[in-house]
Amino acid sequence: MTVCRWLPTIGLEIHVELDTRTKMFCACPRAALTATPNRATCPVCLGLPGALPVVNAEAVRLAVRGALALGATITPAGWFARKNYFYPDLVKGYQISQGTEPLGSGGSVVLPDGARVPLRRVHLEEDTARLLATGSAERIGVDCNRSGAPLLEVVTEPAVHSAAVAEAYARTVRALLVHLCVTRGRIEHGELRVEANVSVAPAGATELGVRVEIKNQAGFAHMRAAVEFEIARQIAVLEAGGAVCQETRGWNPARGLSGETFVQRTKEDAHDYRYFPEPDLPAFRLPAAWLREERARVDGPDGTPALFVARMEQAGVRTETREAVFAHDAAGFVRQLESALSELPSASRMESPLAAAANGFARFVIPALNAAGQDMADSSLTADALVAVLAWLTDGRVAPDGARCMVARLATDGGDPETVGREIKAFLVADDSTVIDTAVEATLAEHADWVAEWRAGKIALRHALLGTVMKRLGHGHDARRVALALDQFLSR
Amino acid sequence: MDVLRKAKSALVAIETALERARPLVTCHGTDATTTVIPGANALLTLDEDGARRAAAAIDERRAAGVSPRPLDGLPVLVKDNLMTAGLRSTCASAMLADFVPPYDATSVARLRAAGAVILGKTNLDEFGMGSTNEHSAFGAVRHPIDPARVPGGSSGGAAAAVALGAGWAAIASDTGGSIRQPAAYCSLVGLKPTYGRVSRFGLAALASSLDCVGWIVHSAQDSALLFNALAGYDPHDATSSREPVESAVAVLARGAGGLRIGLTEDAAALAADCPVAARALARASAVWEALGAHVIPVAMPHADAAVATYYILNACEASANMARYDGLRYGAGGDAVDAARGTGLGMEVKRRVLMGAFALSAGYYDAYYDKAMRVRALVAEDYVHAFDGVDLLCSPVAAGVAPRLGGYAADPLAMYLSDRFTVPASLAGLPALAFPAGEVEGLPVGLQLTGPRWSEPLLHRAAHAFAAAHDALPSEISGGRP
Repeated sequence: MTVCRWLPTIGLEIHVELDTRTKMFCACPRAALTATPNRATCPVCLGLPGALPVVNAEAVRLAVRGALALGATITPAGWFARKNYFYPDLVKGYQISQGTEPLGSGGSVVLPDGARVPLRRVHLEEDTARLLATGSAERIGVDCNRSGAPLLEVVTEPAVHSAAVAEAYARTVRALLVHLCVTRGRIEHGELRVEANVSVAPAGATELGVRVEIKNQAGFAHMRAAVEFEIARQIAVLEAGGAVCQETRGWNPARGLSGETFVQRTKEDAHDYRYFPEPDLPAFRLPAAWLREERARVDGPDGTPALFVARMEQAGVRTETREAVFAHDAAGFVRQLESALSELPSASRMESPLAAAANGFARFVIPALNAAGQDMADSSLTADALVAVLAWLTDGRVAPDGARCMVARLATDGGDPETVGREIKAFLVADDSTVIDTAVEATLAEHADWVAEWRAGKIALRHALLGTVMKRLGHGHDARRVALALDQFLSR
Repeated sequence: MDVLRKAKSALVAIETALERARPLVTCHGTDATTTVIPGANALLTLDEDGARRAAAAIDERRAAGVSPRPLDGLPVLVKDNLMTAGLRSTCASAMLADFVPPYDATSVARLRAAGAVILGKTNLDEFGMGSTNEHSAFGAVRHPIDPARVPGGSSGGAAAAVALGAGWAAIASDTGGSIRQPAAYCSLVGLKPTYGRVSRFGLAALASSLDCVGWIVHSAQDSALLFNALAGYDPHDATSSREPVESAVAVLARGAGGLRIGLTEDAAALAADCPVAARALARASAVWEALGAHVIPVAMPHADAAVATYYILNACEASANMARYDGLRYGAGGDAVDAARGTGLGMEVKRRVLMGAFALSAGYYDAYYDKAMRVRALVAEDYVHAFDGVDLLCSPVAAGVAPRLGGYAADPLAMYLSDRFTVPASLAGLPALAFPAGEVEGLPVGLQLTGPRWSEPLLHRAAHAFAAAHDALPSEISGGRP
């Protein structure tokens, strides 16, 4: 078996875009990939002659939090370095990064199954611009909106030996950093990018095999598939007596998970980036208060996803709900909801605020996200808006169905919950028996054929009738009362 | 120049300066058939309309009785490696021949805010690389007195233009002597401030850890005015200092009595290879003593290593700073990126990029860059010790008077070595002020004062006192031209 004779070794580099307001070294806003190219730019991120970088303190602070969360040892006295290379998307001909003394050294990531992936370094740097196809083979566009965006680069030791562990590692890093609001981590928005270095050596060998770098992995499943393919390819080359070339290979996600890696760039030698200290940025010392505060945040009761899940368990949240919350709420919405709920006058009557928050999130928000195909990070829903809806639900001003519709609307369009509730008629009408009866009668008259078929035994048609009545009534009526009225009419 | 300073109307001052400036614009008098005039090629761009508009606005303010600003109506030239919004900024490079920046350098913005009128842009050695102003894509600048000689560099255009009255002042950059040396060759005052005192934002970088924005003017008094207007913290430059700015104007008239002036060079030892500098220094010592100052010899043990240290660091930083001019973004562009780079950058720029890339490459970093950084710290330490015993240091700016055109053509190393008196203060990040100290057969000789960090007010005060005493002496320093 090849599996026994060969040991694959994988090193991973994850680039995470920090969730700051502005770029790493200038005051330009971080722009979405869909923004008009080159609009979020200034002399600094365009690399114009004479422009100078100024460090974004918010980015450094988020990077410190990320490095602490990954268990890295922080270098409190830091400096930036120039990494020199030529590429059309690199406007200055060098990238401002960190050299031999990165922000964080060492550290490790514990995977859900308890395995530990050791880290080499965690450092801050600026992103490059982006090359865009123009539709002409002779011209290529450069979009500098991304130029200078703040990045945290997380580099593992070459110590992962399977594609499955590589995938679990990347997912865990994302969960951890998103949970701590270091990044929004949306892969489709380019906020998290994974590169894998794969080599294969005979089992028991002391030296690693020749390294191949894989670029352009769109998402975790693709990364795993690309690494799996690459391991198999290298083993096949070696078994046939060939040699693996040191090169960069691409992966075309459009071909699905059964695609192949292909040669992008062959390197004769490792690149000489001619690092030297960035003279435009004085060496810095991290404020002791930051380190203290960020340490407290990371080690706090909700610091890691694992700690947060444990606290939900204590609060009596059911297993399925805990899992659903963890899967959907990477941005800490439930924690915001919890603190907002605990400030309500009715908080003492509530199950624990955390349980109320988790249950409310699972019951109303997750269905809304699923229906809209949204991520919590894209949602316009605020914790305060959801608190208002939940409070009305407790007071009986809205029925669960009305609440669900309000949340769905707030999640896609945002806005004031009171106004939204009135617009979609979600508030319960005080005395509604006549209205309900009229609606039921009208519906039954209109769908006399359904009633006949229901009487003949097609019992599912009751549900269709109920839905039609509800549609006629709007959301301001309790579905249970409507069902009762419908059953009364049907049994006549 | 008094006419420029004392004019009742800004428009009159501007028209006078423009008239003097027009003949100095590149392409005037450079071809072989015409007579080469003094100061030829000093200017790359004149902004006549912009200057007139600004002057008219100032005259309107005056007429309306708005209280005057410190530099109201003064015509100022700007070295072409400082960005001026909407006005071509070439760095004297073919690569940027058509580059119009969308923003003002902080120093330019502060000039405008203080009421100065930007008249145009001055020639320089490409990106500031050179000590003669012969390395310009737009042609060499001629000395304002003798057109067979260079005005010095890299701010040769700035010095020649100010010497000929085409502007009240020129703001420029000094990385290793680029302000002080041409000021000395052209009988002017040039200030390289403390590193971090005047913002570098908008100065096209040559060597970022050494570059300083300063100026070339006619007197310490004018320099003090500019210092008060331009010095101070800038949030756009992370290397600019929050140290409070002391007024240089307020202390100008306090004299030099009691000051301890250190001499880093022994005049007798200097006489062998730099007789002109030695004579100027000897006479200056007598002037200082006549002013009531004490002249004290001072040892600078690491001075000999300064030029080598400086040129390693300069080339390393320049190699990265030049990387953006890769032929893709600037220059002729088109299909041939390599060609754009090949023709867009001059010989001296290529030489420094190659040397810098080499010195930073794997295996050489420790031997060159890292070692140079360590020697740099030793040079700075020499100054710390020196300032334990003296208030200021007085030293030559150059070995002699302005050299003839082409004098260094075959020997770039000789050009680098000519910077030996100016690079130490640059390495240490200290303020240094060059001032006139006599003439040899009509060609100016300058000296410089160097002080501790943030000592610009004291430098101006001493230079102002020196000028008053020195002006009373005959300008010729005996001994003849070398």
